[in-house]
Parts: sequence; C-alpha cells; structure tokens
Amino acid sequence: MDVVLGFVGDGFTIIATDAGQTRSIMRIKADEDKIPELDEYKIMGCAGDAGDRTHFAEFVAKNLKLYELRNDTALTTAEAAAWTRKALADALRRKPWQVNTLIGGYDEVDGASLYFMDYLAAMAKVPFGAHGYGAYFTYGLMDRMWRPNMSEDEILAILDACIAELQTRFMVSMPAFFVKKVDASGVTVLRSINSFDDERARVGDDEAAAASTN
Amino acid sequence: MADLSFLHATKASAALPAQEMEEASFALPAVADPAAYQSQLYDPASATPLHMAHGTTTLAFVFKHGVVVAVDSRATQGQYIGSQTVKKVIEINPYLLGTMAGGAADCMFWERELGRQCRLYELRNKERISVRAASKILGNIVYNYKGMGLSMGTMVTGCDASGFSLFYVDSDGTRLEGQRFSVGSGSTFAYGVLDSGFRWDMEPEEAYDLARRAIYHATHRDAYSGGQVNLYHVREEGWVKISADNVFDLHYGYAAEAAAEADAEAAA
Repeated sequence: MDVVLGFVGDGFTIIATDAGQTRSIMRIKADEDKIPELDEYKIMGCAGDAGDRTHFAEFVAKNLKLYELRNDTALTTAEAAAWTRKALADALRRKPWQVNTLIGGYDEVDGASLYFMDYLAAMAKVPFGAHGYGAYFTYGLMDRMWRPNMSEDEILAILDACIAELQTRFMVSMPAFFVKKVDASGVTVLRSINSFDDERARVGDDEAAAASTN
Repeated sequence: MADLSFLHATKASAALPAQEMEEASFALPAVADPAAYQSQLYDPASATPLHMAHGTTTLAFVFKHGVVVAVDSRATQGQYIGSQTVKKVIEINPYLLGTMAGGAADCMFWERELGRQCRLYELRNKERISVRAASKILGNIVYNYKGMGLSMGTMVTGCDASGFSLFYVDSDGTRLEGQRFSVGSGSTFAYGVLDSGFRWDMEPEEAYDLARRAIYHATHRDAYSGGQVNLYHVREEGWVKISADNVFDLHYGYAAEAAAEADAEAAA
C-alpha cells in the first residue's frame, strides 16, 4: 500500500513517499524513510516488500559506490537507472526483488531527471510518476497540473494536491510524507518526521531531542 | 585510482582460522529451488503440512529512562497450550535483549547465534557491538533464508555508545528502527493500551505498569497469549529483570484496584 510520487521541475527532481510501514493490517512504524539516497546526486523512492526494499536499496547504492571507486567517475542518472533495471531483470527469473522504484537524479549531462521502474524491470524516463494504489488517485491530478520547468513551490503545490487527494479518497490513512529534492547542489530533505523527537518535544525534553539528532 | 586489492583478499589472509569465521547455517534441501520446495511444506493444503507455533504477545518501547520489554509466556501448539512458562525474552548478553514471537526454535537458535557473533565482534574489536549492528546481523541472516519457512518476529534492543535503541526484525527480512513495537497475535490489543498510555517522560515505575497492563490486556483477549508477564528494563549499565507476574494475579489485582476506586468515588 506504499505510495511513491515523483516530479521533475526546473533543474530539480522531487520524490515523496508516505512515512508508514505496514505489516498485515497494522501500521508498525509511522516515520519510515522510504527514499534512500543512492549517492550525492541520486535518490530512489521505493514501494514494496519491506525486506526487499531496504536490501535492494543498499545493494544498488553500494554497487554505484563500487563503480565510482573502480573508475574514478560516478554514473549519470540514466546510467545508474539502466544498471538498476538490469539488476532487477537478472533477478526476475531467480529471486525477484519485489520493489517498485522512482529514481531521481541530477547530472551535468541531462540535468534533473526521473526514471520510473517496476519490479518486473520495466523502465521509462518520465516527467512525473507514481507507484501503487497511489497512482490511481494522483495521475489524473498530475496530468492536469504538471507543466515543464515549474518552480519548487509550484511542484510542491502539485504534491500537496496529490497528498490531499490521497487523504480524502484512499482507504489507507497516510498522515505524513517524506519529501526529498535533488538538484545541482545535491540532495535536500524537504519534509521528514521523527517520532522520537515528537515524543520528546511533546513533554518539553528538547535537550534530549537535540542530542539524538547528532 | 583507488586501491581495491582488499576486494580480492584470499581466505588464508583472514585473521582467524576459516572454521571459526564461519557463520552458522542450515543445509538446504537438494532441489532446484529450495525456497519453493520448503514453502510448499508449510502450505496447509499439502498432504503433510508442518505446523508452526505462532501465538504470542511481546512489546518493547524506548522512553526517557531506557527501554522496557514485556512479554507473555504461553506456547501454543494449535489449540493446545504446550507451556505457560516460556522465556520469550532472550538474554543475548548483559546489554542486549531479544524477544521471541513466531517459531520458538527459529528465534532461540538464531538469537543464540547472534549472541555468538556479538561475542566474537567484542573479542576482535575490543568494544561492544552496537544494537544497530547486532540487529543488522540478525536481519541479514534471516533475509538470506527469506521464503524458506523461517518464522520469527523479534525485537532487538539494548544500550550502546549512541544510547538506547530498539529494532524490529522479522523473517520477511524487515528490519526497522523504532520508538515502540508490539509483535505477535496479541499485539493489536497491547498496542491499544500502549499507544494511549505512553509518555516519553514516564518514571520507570509508570513504564513498568504500562507495559505489564498492555501485556495483561492482550492475554485477556488473545487466547494464544497468557501465563505470566515477564518484564525487563534496559538501563545504561545493562538490562535488569524487573518482574514476572502471573496474569491471574494481575487480573484480580487490577479488579480489586478498580473496585477500591469505585468505592472511593461512591464515598466522595
């Protein structure tokens, strides 16, 4: 039931995921970051089986790092996406990773870009995209609102409209989202939540909250 | 170019004899797809299905004064209560605790193996392993057996240089850091009490009472949980076992408290 949304704007790509981790009918975590940072200029929004999700993200990130160490140059977003697609395709007939991803990145060749990839290793370069049930509720809005070269505020307005729609129509409750942006200066976390800090702040234990973030 | 020779290190160069470095592992069935073969054994529709023990209630939470862990003690084999005195908190070492839900044998075996690896880490590195690293060892082990019928829902918790932490690890390969978790068939009931009563700045005594009550209420509604409530507190200097209370005693104790309160209210 994970929701992943992604948009390309003017010189940046934004990816958002809901912050929930569910098991059966239960939300067992409300502050899970499902947008791992693959390297300085790449983020990957993930939806799917929790075990596969974390292991696959680490597998991709470490292999991109290994390539960089061996060749003294990092892969572009397009190259990294192609490598990731091949990894999924190779695993598909053996032990598939059940993860759907949106890979966003920034590089000097293509600027900001976004790649849609499902667990069957189908890949497409897209201006915006979504996975899972969330896609049914948001693609209409995205088609309606997205234009080329939008500013960060404009893209976030689309995102907020999508989140509002999910919270109105989708049966599964999604109170919080992680949002990350990647552009020429790297990855920025735009929105995140931390239950620990929230609990501490609620009782005025801000000192402990500050210490925990270090 | 970076020196990557370490990637090609031979086994002979390892610091310890290869045998000692080996991780515990199972021999897999000699078939083309061990995962598919084993999962069919657990299919209830198969001719001779294997049954796994499942019912349990366990919980753990991090708060201002450490981590509190509470569990029930019932083991069921289908409709039959196999034991009322199971130790579902596994004492990995003096500052690491694991909880047990799902297959008892799987949890016991792999958490003991985790304890062995944590001890080896300590001997090699002259410092205690972090809870993060310990839970990752367990998570990686079970991920390698994904789909082959392991059944575990466990919480690994303890204290290290970064403070108190709590991780949920299950046999699907899921590994999550969190503030509070409850695992097992009674977990939904326990969550109700735990979520509504939790405060970060509880005193230890309040936290013990909350944890005990949460497990008690789970044992009240969930037929597969019961026996006694075992309660642990992880402090900076390591864990301490706080109490073990029979749920019947708790039941009548809480009933007496409620009656006394009602009397006091009526009198006022």
